[in-house]
Amino acid sequence: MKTVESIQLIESMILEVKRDFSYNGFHFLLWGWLVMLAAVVNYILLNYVGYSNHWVGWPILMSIGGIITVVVTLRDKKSRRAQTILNRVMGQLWLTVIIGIVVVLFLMPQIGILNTYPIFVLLYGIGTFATGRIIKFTPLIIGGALCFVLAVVSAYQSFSNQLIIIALAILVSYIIPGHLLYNKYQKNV
Amino acid sequence: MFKELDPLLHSQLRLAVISLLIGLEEADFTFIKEKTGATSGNLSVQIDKLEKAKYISVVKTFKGKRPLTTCRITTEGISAFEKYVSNLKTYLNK
Repeated sequence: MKTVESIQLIESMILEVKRDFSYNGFHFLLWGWLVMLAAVVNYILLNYVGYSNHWVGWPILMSIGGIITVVVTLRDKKSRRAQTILNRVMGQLWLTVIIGIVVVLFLMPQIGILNTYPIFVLLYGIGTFATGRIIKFTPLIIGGALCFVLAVVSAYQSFSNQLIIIALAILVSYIIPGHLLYNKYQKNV
Repeated sequence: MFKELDPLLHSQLRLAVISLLIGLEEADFTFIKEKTGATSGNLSVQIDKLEKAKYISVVKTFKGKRPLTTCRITTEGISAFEKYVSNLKTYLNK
């Protein structure tokens, strides 16, 4: 084997791995649109319908997201024949964020709903900012940083305004970067 | 000055296996077979050689009823690969 052939072989194998494991942004898009929808539905029911259980969209839509995520994750795990360190790191990071969100849900009756949403925005920011820094994807870093700012801003707003802010936070941190990740993935495959 | 290339890595299939594993935490035999385009028999032999040299670790388990061979690169394997690439550079700079 010639030395040039060795270099080409190493390069081609590394590219194979890179292509196989590039992330298509699926979870960002799924959760981005679900949270956006839940926040908008909550805003409409609260301000325009006057329905007392205006929060009803949250448990329904978040359960749908949870079921889809579990099914997709199990399917991926079953068909997965190789694992990158990066994938495992990302999995553990988002598992931690999800646990954080569940913990805050349990805190909600004690700390009050008005203090809850800013913490959710902060948690979105932590997951998104860290992901952006780890995979070196600027739109996620910007989205995460904006979430940090929006978390502070929302703490000084009414509940109704917090719903708009959470929709805005999810737009900049999940939906826009998610679509950009998807476009990038389509170009690379 | 040309530096000698590790004969264990200077072989097409073994180098392909190590180059794949360097970017992965672990990989199944079928994944490596698909990516390298090798036959099962040849791949088994080369994986065995890499394992004997302690460049990779191999764990044999079952997934349902089917046997599952999982390979991962060891720290010795990473060092050997890095040395191989660095020695390879001495040929390219001439």
